[in-house]
Amino acid sequence: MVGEWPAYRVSTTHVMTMQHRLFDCYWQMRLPELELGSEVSVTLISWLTSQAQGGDIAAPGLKR
Amino acid sequence: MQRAPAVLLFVSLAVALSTSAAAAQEARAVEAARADAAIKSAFPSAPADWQSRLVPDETMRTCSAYRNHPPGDLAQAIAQRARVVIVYPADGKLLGDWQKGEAIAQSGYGLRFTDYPPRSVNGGNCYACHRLSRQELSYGTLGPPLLDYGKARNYGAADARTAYEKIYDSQAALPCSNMPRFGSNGILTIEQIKDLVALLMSPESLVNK
Repeated sequence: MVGEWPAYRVSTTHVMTMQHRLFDCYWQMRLPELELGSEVSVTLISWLTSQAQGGDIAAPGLKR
Repeated sequence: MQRAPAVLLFVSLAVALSTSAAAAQEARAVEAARADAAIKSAFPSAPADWQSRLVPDETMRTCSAYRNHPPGDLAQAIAQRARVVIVYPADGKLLGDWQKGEAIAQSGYGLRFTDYPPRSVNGGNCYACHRLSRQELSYGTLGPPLLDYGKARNYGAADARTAYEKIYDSQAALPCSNMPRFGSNGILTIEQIKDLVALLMSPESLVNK
């Protein structure tokens, strides 16, 4: 999944980054507005990427 | 002579690798206070009355500490804390209007930072995780499918009560459940939860068709 980002999002009609997807994720979880580029966002994406090790890179993906 | 640079390169690479391995080891033991500070600074524009959303309550702390598998006594404490906060309808009726329930299940509106001031009542966003009807094709699979929920239980009164409690506070039925606590956290009203119980438990509901 991580290998599909950045991805074209039908909801935004643009290719969006994983940073933006996390911003949306926190919004949907009823948390305050995530600071783009914050340490939390960067470390979380780093962790997701390390979890995806060995997977295929298939960017840009197509997402809702 | 010719090999020397290669050996040197190998040695320095090995040193670099062992250094980064040590750093990775250290990184795993990040102090809780440092993590808390990072979380706080990730939401700099959070209004004062939103700060509580960043602070886990005792149930969430226990679930995080045990990766959602708390030992028996702590799991029982979580369920007990949840049970005592459940408020039941004053008239004792647990089934509302299933059609209103379907609308609540479809709506993901409410409590997001773009939802203020509220332009609509809150939704339950149930379809985001559950399959509830055959006609709705867009549903998530984080939660179990709930097709034929009432039919499979012969529309039993005790099962309606269980469903009400599960929606009101999921921790009462399953400690460390991933499902939001719709009643306890003030997401849905008692009337709305009754409508969702009707969606699950009415013979006429599209859940059971």
